[in-house]
Amino acid sequence: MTNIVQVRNLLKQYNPPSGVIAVKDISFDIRRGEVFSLLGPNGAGKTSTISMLSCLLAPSSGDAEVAGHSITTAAPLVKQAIGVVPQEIALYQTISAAENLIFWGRMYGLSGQRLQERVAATLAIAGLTDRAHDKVESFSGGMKRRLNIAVGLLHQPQILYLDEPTVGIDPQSRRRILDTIKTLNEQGMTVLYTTHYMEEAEELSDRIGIIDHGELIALGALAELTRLVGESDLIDLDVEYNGADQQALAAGLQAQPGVQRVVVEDGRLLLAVDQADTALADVVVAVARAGAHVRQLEIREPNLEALFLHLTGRALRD
Amino acid sequence: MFTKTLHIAWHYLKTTYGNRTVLIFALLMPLLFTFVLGSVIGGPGRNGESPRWQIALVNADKGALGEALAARLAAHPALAVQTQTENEALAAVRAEEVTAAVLIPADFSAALLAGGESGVEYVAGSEVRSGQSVQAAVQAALTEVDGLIQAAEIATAAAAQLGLFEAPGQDQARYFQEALQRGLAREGTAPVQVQAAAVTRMQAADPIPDGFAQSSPGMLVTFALVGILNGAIVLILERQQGTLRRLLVLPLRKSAILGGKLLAIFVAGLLQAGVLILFGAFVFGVNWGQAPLALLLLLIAFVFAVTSLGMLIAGLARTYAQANALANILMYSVAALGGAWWPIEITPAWMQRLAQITPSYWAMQGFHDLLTRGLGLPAILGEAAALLGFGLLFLTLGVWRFRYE
Repeated sequence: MTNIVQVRNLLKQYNPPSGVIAVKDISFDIRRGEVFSLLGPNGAGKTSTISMLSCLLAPSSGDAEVAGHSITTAAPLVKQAIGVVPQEIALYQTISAAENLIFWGRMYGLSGQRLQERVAATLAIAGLTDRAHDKVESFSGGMKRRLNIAVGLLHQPQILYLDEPTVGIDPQSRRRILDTIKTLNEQGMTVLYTTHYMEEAEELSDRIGIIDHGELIALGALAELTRLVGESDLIDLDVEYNGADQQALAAGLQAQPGVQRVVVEDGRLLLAVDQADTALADVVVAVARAGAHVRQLEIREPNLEALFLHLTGRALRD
Repeated sequence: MFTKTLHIAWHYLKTTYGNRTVLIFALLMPLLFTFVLGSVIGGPGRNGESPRWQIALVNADKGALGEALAARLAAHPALAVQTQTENEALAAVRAEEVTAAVLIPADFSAALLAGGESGVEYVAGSEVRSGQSVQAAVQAALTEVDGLIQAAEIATAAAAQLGLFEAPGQDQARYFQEALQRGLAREGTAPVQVQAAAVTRMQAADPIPDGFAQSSPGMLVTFALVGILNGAIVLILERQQGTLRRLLVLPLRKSAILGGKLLAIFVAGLLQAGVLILFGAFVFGVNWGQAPLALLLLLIAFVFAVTSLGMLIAGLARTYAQANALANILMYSVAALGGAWWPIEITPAWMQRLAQITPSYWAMQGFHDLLTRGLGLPAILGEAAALLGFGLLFLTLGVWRFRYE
């Protein structure tokens, strides 16, 4: 399988020499026809990376080739090859969906019959054909998100970048968008998808790059990544502390046999353990002895969240 | 690439003026303000239909000169004269049925011929501005009558120097009377009346614009500032809502994006000004001067300067709220300071000097050159150059400071 994107030692520092380094010397490839996700918490460097790959942001060093063109020396060719769906709803609210698509299509150089065909096709993909002539301001959040994606597909790009396209929408709309992306991928579209939702990355991606503090800390298919965690299970405890010291309780749990790591996150306790079924009883007893009690608990199989915890010592939260 | 610039410009016009509220605000509001302000500061002014001020005339003089003065007042295009008794005239002034009463005394002719004061009394009502105009017209008529006497005296003196009089006292007096009669007889045929009427108001050294001659260009300038500056800060809104960022990831030059937006704002400003000019001319009777090319040049220079000022605001403001506040402060202060709301001539000298740092001042001066002073292209070249200078400065700074993200 050939690579459509090749990223080499990409680095972005804002306001050098003392500014924040948002992306730290990352390298990865995206294969033609796959869904590649960049997974990481807010502020990890996902949007900076996608902005550089869109030629919107100049890298401080390093380079990337997209569809055979360098982002630093051949920006117009890169821009013609990519479709970008930004995080925000980048649409004109006071005109209709069709008028939006016609305008953006013209900006891609489409005109005449070809423009009309592409507008109709993308409206169909977004499921908005019957609302084509309604003003965007009358749409629900999910409909706007779908139209936002449709704009990125107008010129039939070789690769579609989607920057957190499901932020702030209801579960039903999210489901529809994920299904749309899967369908597009089945039809041959390569997708670069950024998200901080572990479940989305797990569901959609052929391969996943986990990014944190600007660094690519893991890269591979889901199965490969979860193997990195080993056989750990994840116990997620919702605890009523009743005055007990949170940190002391975490330290106490860490000392229990079979517990690999304990992280306190928003009052919850996340425990990476060798085997949940054998560790669970001791964990609950330890909590009770500390004067607290367990309100709710959840046991999860090895997954990306466990991996993120394993690699960073922090939870991957919304 | 230029096609895309045009598409961006057209798209801007469509999304902005497709909104009925914006359209109404851009066109109806300035027309309403033009009408209200124009009426408040002096009615149609000299550019519209001439006003007819009512005056009451009391002519107690039985001589020819009193009659000549009355005839001149009656012929004045701005005056509607009612001949009344003194009591009726004074009552009419008190009742504000007339602007003023003019009382010609019984010895008017005799006094003038004797070289004395005319003794004409002028009783004005409470409407000061109209009163001043009527007084000026009366004074002009008096000057004309006095001129007839002087002409007869000069002719008589010249004849005396030539030795035409055998019996100087008697012949000279008869010659003077004949000369005066000839002068009076020529009344109505000589162009003196027209010139005299004009002298009092139209050819003053630095006339102050009034009525729609002030409010029409004034509101054009004000609402061009309002419309264009509000239009320019849409750039910030686009940056904030992400559409500018989306344009940037398309195969487009930045110059095409910014050029398209600015072109649209400029064209919208010109169209708005054009509508206001046409409306002013055909509905309010404003005479926009005799030099349409000069008017066009002035408009282009002014709209360019304000569009660039909008670009500067977009370059300086970080958020839409900031841009909105800055635009509001600038649009009203620049309009007022530059003389768009009242004649700059009535403001203190220091304010008139300060006004010169605003594009609106130069635009208003240009409009007054064309409307009030009746001048042509050469007269407004300086103002147009100043506006173009402002435009280039603002545009350069604005584009330099503008952040796309």
